[in-house]
Amino acid sequence: MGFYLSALLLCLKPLNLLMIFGMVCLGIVFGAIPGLSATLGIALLLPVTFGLSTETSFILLLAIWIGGVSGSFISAVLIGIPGSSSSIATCFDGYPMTLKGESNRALAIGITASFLGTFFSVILATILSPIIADFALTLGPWEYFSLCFCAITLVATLSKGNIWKGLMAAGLGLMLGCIGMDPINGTQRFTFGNPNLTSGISTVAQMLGMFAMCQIIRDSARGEAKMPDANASAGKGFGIRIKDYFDNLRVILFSFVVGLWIGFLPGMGSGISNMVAYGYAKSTNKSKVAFGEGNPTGIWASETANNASLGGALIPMMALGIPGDGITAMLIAAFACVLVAAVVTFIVQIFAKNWFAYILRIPYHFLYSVILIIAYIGGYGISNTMFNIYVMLALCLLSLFMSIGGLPTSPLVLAFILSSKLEGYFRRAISMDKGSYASFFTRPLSLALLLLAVFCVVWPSISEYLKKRKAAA
Amino acid sequence: MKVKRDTITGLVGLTWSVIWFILIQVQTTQPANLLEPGPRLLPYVGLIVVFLSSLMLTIKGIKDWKKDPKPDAPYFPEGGKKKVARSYLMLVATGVLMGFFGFIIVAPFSIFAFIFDLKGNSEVKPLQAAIIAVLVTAGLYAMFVYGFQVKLPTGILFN
Repeated sequence: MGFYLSALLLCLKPLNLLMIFGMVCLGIVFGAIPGLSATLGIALLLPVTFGLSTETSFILLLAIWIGGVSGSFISAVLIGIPGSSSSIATCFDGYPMTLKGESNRALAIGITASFLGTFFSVILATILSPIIADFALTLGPWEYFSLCFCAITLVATLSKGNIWKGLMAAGLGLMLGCIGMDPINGTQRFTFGNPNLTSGISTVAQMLGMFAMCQIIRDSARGEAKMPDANASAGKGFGIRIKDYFDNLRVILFSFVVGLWIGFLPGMGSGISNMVAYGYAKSTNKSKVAFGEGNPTGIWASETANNASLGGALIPMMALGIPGDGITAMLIAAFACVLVAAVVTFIVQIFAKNWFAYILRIPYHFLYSVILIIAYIGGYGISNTMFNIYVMLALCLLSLFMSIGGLPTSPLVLAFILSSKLEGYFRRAISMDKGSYASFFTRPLSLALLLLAVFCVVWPSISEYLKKRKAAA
Repeated sequence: MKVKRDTITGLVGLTWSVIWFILIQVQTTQPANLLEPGPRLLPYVGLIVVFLSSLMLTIKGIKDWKKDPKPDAPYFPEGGKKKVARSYLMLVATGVLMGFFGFIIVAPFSIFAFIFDLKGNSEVKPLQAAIIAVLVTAGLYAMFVYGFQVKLPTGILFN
């Protein structure tokens, strides 16, 4: 506790607070611009930190990280293009809310959910990290595989239209995920001898091609290219009421736990948690407003989960294999810094909320032309080669054909992100069991997750059958 | 459209499954004596998922057509197909030209073209669009190159 308070006081020093403010603002900008991300912000800032003290470096890097993850929902809500993969699910209902003139409310939900997710996940991570870490050490690749499998199934089966379209999209995501080196042997697959494909397809290129480029040209061709009424969107007050919290409390709590847990798992994070939480919220929706048509619960779920992943991601750093008082003290300082950065982000976003809405005053053709050009910059920035721009263009075409065929993009994105983990954990588990598959079914958590996945696939058919039977009776 | 869109999607999926199967044989090698399923596992899982769902989608489309032989409403309104093809070609052209001439030369022309492509029924003056295109390019270049220290495409010709 002593360490914690002294770290908190260190963060609250005027100069440090000013730096947190500056980095949070920069992080929000990086998060909000499609193609840039908190990771890029950290990478750019890293050389600067070499000449600074350890505490200052920590403060700079963590503040830009928090701002970046939190800020990615802004573009998702206002222009329907996620700033990063952590806000993909926010687009599904955030942008429709903006189109209905409710951007003020959508932004307020995003700001609040981001704050709640970050703040409480860090507090929980501080308190519970040793316990969670002990539990996590008992898990193996069997459980990780089952979780990935369950996540893909959940999102695929909850897709718009019918289950087969969701599964087909998920299958295509798995195929895309096969490109590059395989995660166990390093065998090259589907690279066609091109060294650029060795590391696989970039998630950023995929997001920019499938969401930014495809959406813009498709909406334009369908005559749906329009900006919402900026005056109606500006709104008065904060935008949400106390009742909204209580109405969505169950979803907030579930998304928080999902985000914290997924953030904790190695190699996973906010890019996955937002879609899993959204899938859950959609499956339990009882509201009159359908998901995908501007249901605020979708934003609560997505934004709480992706920000809760931040706290979850700190747990392994804090609790696994990092002994020694000096380093522990430094890590406690990191927790304190994240808390301060979360509060600063919240305050900055509240004050800037109405400014964000000014973006809606820019005519569609000017704003989206600039976004298209920024997409090229984002694509090029992945590896400083033109190759990812071409990948982006190819995926834009794929997404266009998927839209025409009525295939949803979210199962594809999730399956693509999870494919290497799914394969890696599965094959590792089989290797560890010397070729046996039994442990997937004999380990309780693994079995429970697999049963849940099967239930997700079977339930729509059972539900339909029960409805027909009820109607017949 | 004489068949339902689901049937076409399903048939495309089935065709792709066959191509993917051939690609698996050609583009992946399975090391011998592995304790685990090897690198062909995930491609085959993807293949099975796509194949089965495509098959079901095809059947569903045929069933729907038998119930109601009315064609699906077109996805794009009249002229939409041409418009989307033109927009996509513009995106490709921008990408290819950026590879040759670099960002600073191609971006203003592309922004100018995108503005007119996306304008719909709005009135846009060419001079206004040109000024915006140049200012935005300069602003983005300054922000990314000098502000964020991010590299932009320089183009093969100027490398």
